[in-house]
Amino acid sequence: MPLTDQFKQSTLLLYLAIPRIFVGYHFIDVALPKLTRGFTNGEDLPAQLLKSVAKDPFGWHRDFIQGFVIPHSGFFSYLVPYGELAIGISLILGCLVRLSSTFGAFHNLNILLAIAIPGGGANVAINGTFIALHLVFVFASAGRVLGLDAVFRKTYPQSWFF
Amino acid sequence: MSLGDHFKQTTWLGYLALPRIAVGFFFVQFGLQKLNPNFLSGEQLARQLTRASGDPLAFHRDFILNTVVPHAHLFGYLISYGEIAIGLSLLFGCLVRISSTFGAFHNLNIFFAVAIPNGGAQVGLNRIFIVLQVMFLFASAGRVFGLDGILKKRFPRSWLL
Repeated sequence: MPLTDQFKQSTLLLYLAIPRIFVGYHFIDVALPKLTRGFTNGEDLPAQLLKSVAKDPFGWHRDFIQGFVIPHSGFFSYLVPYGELAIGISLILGCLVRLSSTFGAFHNLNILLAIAIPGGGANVAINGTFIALHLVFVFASAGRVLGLDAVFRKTYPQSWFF
Repeated sequence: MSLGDHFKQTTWLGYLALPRIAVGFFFVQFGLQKLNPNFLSGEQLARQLTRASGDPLAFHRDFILNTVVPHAHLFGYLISYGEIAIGLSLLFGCLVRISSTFGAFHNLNIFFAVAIPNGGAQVGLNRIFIVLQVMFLFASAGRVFGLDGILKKRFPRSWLL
């Protein structure tokens, strides 16, 4: 069987919706403690980044973290928890999954480079797996099962967004 | 769309190959890290499992403390070689239904004995690995970009593939 035919064997979209809900749950699970423990004070984020960013494997990404994120940590300390919360809610409800998974993949990629790879351990595996899953959710539009994207899809059947 | 049709929406099996390969890669990586005399002798395992007193399930706590810790030497070999075997099976898509059953069981044990007492990234990692491996089991994810595709052609009626 040629590779494209192999790739296009059909399976239930539900098999992607269930990991989608778990990834969403995980995002909310990590975002809420950040909000309740005062992560938004703008001190925890640079402290965490300064510990690890020197070992960031890519020079341009190290420059981005050191030259842009750490100086603007007041802004980013709001962006990170509220962004995680928004991505998590979107993944659980299956609402605009293509959009939120794009941001989610970008978010996890930044964490992978700036924190996980320098620190090692379980963080590398979890961020790597999440990036792969987010990309799959974008391609397969995983919100169409058990999610609001199914409703949007019916209203806008021509849109590539759902 | 009726509710039945809603759940029967299909997608390409190829999408499951990417997470399968990622999970397999991390299994091989973690297995190779454990392939050193320190872990194989069971010392490191027994030390890690002292935290298992925080295991939330009583029967599982008893199993870990009374069976695994006294036989840490055996389990040190079982865990490191088992992780490598599961990882290679997921990478090559060979007998994925068997290996992801064992993988889900393995991660479930780690989840209760190590991840929950320690907290942190381990909890999320084991949780998502369990969910993913159950999905691989149901969807038979090895049939795409994997040797299960060839085996399926040879044994078309087998439920294993």
